[in-house]
Amino acid sequence: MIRQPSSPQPKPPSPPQWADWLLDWFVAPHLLEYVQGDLLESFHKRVGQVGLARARREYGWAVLHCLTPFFAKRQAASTNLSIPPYNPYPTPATSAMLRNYLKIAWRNLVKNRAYALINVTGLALGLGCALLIFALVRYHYQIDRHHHNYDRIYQFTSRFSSPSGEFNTRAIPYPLGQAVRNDHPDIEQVAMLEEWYQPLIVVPGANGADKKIKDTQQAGAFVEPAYFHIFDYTWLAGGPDDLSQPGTVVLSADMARKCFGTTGQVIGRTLRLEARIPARVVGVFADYQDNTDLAYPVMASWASLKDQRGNRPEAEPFDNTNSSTHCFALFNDRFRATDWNRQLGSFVKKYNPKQIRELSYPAVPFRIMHLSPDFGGVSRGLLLSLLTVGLLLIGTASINFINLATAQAFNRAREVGVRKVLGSTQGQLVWQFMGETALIVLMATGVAAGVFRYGQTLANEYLHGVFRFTFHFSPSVLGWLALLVAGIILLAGLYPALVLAGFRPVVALAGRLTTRQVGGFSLRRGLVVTQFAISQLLIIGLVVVAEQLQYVREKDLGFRKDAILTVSLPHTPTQDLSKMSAFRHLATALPDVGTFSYSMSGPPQSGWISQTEIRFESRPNAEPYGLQQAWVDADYVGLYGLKLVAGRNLQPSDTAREALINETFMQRLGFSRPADVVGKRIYKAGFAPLEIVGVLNDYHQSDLKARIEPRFLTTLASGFYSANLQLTSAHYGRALRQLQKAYNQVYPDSFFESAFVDEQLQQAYQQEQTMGRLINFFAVIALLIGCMGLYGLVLFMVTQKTKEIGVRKVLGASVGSLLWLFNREFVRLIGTAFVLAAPVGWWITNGWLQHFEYRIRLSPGIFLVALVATLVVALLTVSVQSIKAAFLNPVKSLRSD
Amino acid sequence: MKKTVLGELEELVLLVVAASTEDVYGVPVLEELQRQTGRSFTISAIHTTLYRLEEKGFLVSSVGGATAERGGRSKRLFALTTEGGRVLQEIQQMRIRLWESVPEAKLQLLGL
Repeated sequence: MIRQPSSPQPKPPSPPQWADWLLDWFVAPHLLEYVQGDLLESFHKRVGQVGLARARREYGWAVLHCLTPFFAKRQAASTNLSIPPYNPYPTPATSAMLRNYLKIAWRNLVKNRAYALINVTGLALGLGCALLIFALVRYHYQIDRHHHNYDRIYQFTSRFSSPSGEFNTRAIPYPLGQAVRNDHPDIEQVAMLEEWYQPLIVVPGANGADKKIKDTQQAGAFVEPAYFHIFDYTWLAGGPDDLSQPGTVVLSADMARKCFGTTGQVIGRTLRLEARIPARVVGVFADYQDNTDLAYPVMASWASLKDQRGNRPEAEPFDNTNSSTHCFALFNDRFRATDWNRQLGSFVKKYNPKQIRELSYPAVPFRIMHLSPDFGGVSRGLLLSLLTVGLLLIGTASINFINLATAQAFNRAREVGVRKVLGSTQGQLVWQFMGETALIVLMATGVAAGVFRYGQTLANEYLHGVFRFTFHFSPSVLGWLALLVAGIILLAGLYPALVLAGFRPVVALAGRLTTRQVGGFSLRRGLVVTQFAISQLLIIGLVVVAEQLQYVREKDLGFRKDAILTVSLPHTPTQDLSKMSAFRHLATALPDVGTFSYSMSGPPQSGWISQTEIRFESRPNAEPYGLQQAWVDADYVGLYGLKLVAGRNLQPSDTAREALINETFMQRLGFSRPADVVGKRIYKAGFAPLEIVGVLNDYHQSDLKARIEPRFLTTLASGFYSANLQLTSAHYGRALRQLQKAYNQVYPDSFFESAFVDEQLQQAYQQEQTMGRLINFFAVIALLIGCMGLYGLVLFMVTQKTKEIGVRKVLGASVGSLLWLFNREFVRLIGTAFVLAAPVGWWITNGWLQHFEYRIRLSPGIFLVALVATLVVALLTVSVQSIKAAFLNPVKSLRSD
Repeated sequence: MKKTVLGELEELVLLVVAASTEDVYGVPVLEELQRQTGRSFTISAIHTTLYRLEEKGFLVSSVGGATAERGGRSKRLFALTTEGGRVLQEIQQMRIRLWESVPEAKLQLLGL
């Protein structure tokens, strides 16, 4: 071939580089020379005819036409073409062996389809579920990490210290932010945030047609502008600068679309918050991803808060902590979080001198918030146990692989012998078998990706709420996945590969290997034991969680909860008493409504706890413990069936005059006989003296994770936010429609919202329920994987023992005794597994139950369930094959010899 | 070589090669085809066809000189073989036979 050096000339017009690159890469070397030459020649001609730009386009187009198999196909080693071969070695010599390995691996897969299927399915299920778990855990560790000041953001918290222990909460007093700013101007940023639950927004429409938008899933917030200097937000329009004014609000793009149908030109338009407070839109920010705990689609200015609450929040005392109030700070080197925590003592002394309970306000790194159950986060323990489950699933799938591979090793002995005689080294053989494992694992990974995708949609629907997450593939995730896959290949492949490669050729070729020599049967036994221990552990967990949740559902909480509906009243600072009585009249006139009662927060167990301090009788100091307070009317006790142990019910009243206390409060006050405390007085700041008129039997005002705390109830009509109705018929739909009509008649600006008490109560256990479902799911998967492995193992044993069974049958063995021959082994293995799983299971579940103040006892029955379940499933699996083997006619199985 | 059927493009390309006085490569074939038919072709199509004809034994090829505007790349020059010439003749005869069997009156009836 002649290659003329191109003569030097001024920079010639050149075709697009990408096209040349594509051509070089795609077209087979023996064709490239001529095709490219022709393309270039015609390109240069076209440049003269139609200009450079069009010629370049045409060139690109022509190159794209070359992307056909004809041009891609490399020249075969020997052809009778008259074209001289461009490269005498079309494939590298080193790939010949590799191709042979691949070919053999593929043939083996196809030949042992059942094993391949078991391996791939098991690994895919295990890996898919594990991926799902890892994605979930990763999601929780990535929350809010995108804020560029992430490591410098702190949140102020409240810490109550008492002799009985410490209690931490995110709830803080309203005036904290202002006080911090006053005393420490060196702190870079301080911002208050008040959560605004179930925000109601009214968009004034033309000709009086207002649009009401109520978001029941997400809270809104009142914030100070500094908030946006601490956290990163992207502004589509406007900005947070005007947010220092009262009556201003910023919206997320999504919220803006909901309100106005567009995100453009909404700046300056007005809304009415809670249908009352006029607010001007001053900014629209880009929608946050779901990887944040600060998901507030609507944020009004902190200065508007006093309109919402009816008083100046800064004027509240430092004693009152509020669970919807948060304070964030950005510390820098001039003033660190440690500096703040060091001066806490003097700060508390200055602002809250008369405090009895040891209350302080430490600053806690924002990054730990999401993973601290104390502060309403997800428990790290839960995530860790999920992670463990993920690893166990991978482990159990890998065990399948090892078991089946070593069991089958026998069949490959001859191959190994021949390869060794022909000069294979042990290292080469190890790589060959590792490669086969890799092939299977990669196939499984493909399937697992499918499992993962489907599982993710499923998880989002099924585990809504606590485990909301969307998963995005990113380079780091793919890196982890590659690492994981490599780990599995090593874990599953190394041992079988070493066993296989270690055969001595003389023994292997002479067919003198016995099963016992091949990858120790005891090792397989050990692995099966491990697998079943894992399954049993998960089943124990499943049963315990299910039983505890049932206990929680069915435990007598000390009050009635069936067929009671609560309706929320508008969120106004004080309720309009005349409207309340109007609604009561309309509601009680309905045929389906029985008793009717107003209260502060719905049912006796509402998840809303309000704490205060009181003085008792002539004692000089306030009582040294937090006391819960609740506002109810006189019908409340009757409606919820609360039991009086002494005294009488409250008299109907709109102001606080009398009090009911629970037994715990009575005991804390130092009384043992309920009758003694009736008639005594308690004093609360800003209230008239309250006379104790009755003592209530203790009921669970918090979920069963917490103890019953001292509490009192009094009548304070202006603080009622909820109506409670006993429904007397099963026509719930009709009752709801009629109630909504009545409600809108009385409160035209508000939004009707109702819930059944028994359903509300279950929400406290959402996280536990989710966990229950997860364990449920993974236990089934683990058992499934284990059984598939078992099935494969039995399949193998049966083929190995066909002759033995034949001989035994000829000698008179019954089908039953033959079955026992197989099952005996597995019964023993499962028994061993149980001995391992039971104590571990007890230890773990017992630890989990400690979260509940009221809990079930761990009975032996729970553990027996796990044992029996695994036994039954395993024996069924084993029997499918072993029965077939036992019924086989010995004439058939023995004839061949 | 077994009896091979020629596609339309194959036949056209073969004819172009046959018509040229000396050995030709992709670009002239392409241009001639475009000029004669008024249709546009891509280089890849021409090359594929040329190689296929060579494989069938109707063309032979040799490596030709490179020019600057080809970026120094050589040409693959194609020439007709006896086998190729025979196949063209066969086709032509077959066509002529078909034409002869078309009744003249029919075309006149159609106004042609």
